[in-house]
Amino acid sequence: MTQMSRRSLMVGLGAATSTLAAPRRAGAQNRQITYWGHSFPTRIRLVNEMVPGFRQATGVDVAHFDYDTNQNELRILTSWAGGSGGPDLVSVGDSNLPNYVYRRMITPVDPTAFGFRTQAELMAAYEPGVLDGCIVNGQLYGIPMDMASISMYYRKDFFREAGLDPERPPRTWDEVTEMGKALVKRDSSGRMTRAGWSWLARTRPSHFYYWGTLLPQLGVDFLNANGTANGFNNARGLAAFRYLHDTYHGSRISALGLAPTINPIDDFGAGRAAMINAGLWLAPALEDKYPAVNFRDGVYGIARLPQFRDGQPATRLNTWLWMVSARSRLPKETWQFVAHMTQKPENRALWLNQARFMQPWKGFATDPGIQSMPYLDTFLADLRIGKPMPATPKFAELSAAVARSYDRISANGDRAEQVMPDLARDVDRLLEG
Amino acid sequence: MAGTETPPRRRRGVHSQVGIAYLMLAPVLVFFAVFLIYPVGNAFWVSLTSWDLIGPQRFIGLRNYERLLSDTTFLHSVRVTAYYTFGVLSIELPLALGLAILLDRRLKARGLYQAIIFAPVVLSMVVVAMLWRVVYAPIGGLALMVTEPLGLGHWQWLNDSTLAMPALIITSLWKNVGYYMVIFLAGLQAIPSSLYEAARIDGARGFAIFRHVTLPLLRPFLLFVCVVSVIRTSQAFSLIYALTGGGPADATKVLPFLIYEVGFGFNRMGYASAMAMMMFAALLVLTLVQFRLLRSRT
Repeated sequence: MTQMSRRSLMVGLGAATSTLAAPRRAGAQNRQITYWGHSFPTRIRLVNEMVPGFRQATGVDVAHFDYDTNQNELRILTSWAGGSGGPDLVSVGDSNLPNYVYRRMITPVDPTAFGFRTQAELMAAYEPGVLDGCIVNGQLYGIPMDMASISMYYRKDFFREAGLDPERPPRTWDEVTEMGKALVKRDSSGRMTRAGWSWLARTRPSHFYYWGTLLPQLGVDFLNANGTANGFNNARGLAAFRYLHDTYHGSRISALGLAPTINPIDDFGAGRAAMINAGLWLAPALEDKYPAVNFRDGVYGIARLPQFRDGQPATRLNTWLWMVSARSRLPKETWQFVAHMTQKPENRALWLNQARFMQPWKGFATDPGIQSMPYLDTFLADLRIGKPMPATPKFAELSAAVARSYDRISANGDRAEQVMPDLARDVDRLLEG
Repeated sequence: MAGTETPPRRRRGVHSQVGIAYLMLAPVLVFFAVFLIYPVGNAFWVSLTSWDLIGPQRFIGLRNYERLLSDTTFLHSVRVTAYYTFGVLSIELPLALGLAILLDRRLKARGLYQAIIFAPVVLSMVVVAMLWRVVYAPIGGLALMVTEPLGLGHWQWLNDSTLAMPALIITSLWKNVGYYMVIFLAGLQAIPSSLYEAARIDGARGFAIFRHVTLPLLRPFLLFVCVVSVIRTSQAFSLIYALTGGGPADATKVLPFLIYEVGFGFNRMGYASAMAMMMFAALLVLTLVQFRLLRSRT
């Protein structure tokens, strides 16, 4: 009896194990692609609006997930590197592209999915040069979701309140300092409740296109032209780091911790910052959440990014790309989904009019939607002086080092003369290693 | 005949029972082999390689360990981890014991106090981080109720390299002290009251009773709490990830956070594994030392 029971137990265990181990066939024929994007509400809404049309046209479903902007890139890297499959399609900043290509995580763009025969034909459909940063060894790896330049947003209502001319925003960083001092607001205990100027260092890449813009304006950058060593360990680099230090500890027009979290929409909309630098994308998101803070009624204005008086005009390009996983089982269908989102005229109009995402197809600047934008000229002018992000497969390490330097200056108050050489040494070491 | 036949049957019976015992143990052994022995062994192997998770592993011997010894980021992180671990422990254990002793008395609403102190234990660490982010907010934060009357309203808990770690320690204490308090309370309630009566008859009072009766009998509980607390605290990750992100300027970048960043952020799995093995070894030694020091002499 005991023997029988034991045998029955073993048989039962064996049956249960084989049932669990059997391959699941139900989902094998499911034609579905997975898309991971950042948690920008307008992007999420538009993608969700475009998915049904694509499903209807191709029979391919899209599982769309969004993650906090601060965590999205690490999640993608972890899932792709971990070999668990991960998303077929991602949209992230272009600074990720060199690393993804270096690690063979992404696959080149399939021009046929866009209705072109060759890559050259596809590239000819874009403004000249705008895709150059997406090419590695002659192959195109990304399609722009948004090619934003960084310009300046400023609160006209606060300008009026401070006795400044709302139609005359600052053009140089010296003017930013002067006007910023007038715009700063403090409570009875002297604590800053409104910054004159706010650096939006929310994510590690954001350091490069917010305060990091100061470097190209002085003719240098985080990396040298070849990407082999730091490019800022000199007098001009020091001037940029000094200006950053000055905003926190000299003129004190900037401050940390005005809110529990850093969020450009909330910081500007809720009046914690009088001036910030941001892309075109900020306007619709801001007005969605803070309808009273709108451009139409002159509550805020948009202007060219301030420059150094003796520098060379520059801003940073904040380009976000769609890229497809090298492990995707449906790469062509995935690129077709990108084509669906970017080539259909009605979808292009949605990106432009609702998200203010600039997708630089040839002739995009003459599009009636763009022409109707009151602040178009500002962004197009800054787009022309835009500098790309530093291109290195070690961008994650570079951005960690840059973020640490920013913390040392902003939070610790360490002087630029101390911080800059340390960062230069760290950058050189990681590029060598 | 009966005398010669009985022993083999008994042996067969014993063998059969041993077989059943192994069969019953098998799931646990398989579990340990798959989820403990293999990962640790594999981590050690990976620590001897250069591996970016994508390409093939390249054996490099002990080079990762050599680099660690001169890596200022790693050494800084070791110091930060030690600061956090011992900062928490030095307050957490006396506080938990003190609260347990207080609540071991016949107080009104004792159960309510226990529930209030224990409540944070059941919260998820991310929820705790969100709550304390609001507490530490420089404008309108609840912490201002304490710091402002003391003229310290300008303190930026999470944006100041000096204050960020104390802020984490306070949060960790709030979250965990109830857990250890309950363990100590169980230990206190397990001590027979006759021992206290005997001590009093012998003339012992107050601290002498605590020193010579309570503390020795709590030794197994102290050992458990010390070991568990050191391991849990030194492995803290989610609180730091959600509250400070390791900043500002790496002031709260404890080893688990650095390992995560190097492994998954920078894709340097070999180097991250070497860090993990060093941490494993350090914790093992620390645990053995604690066992040695606090081993019950009874």
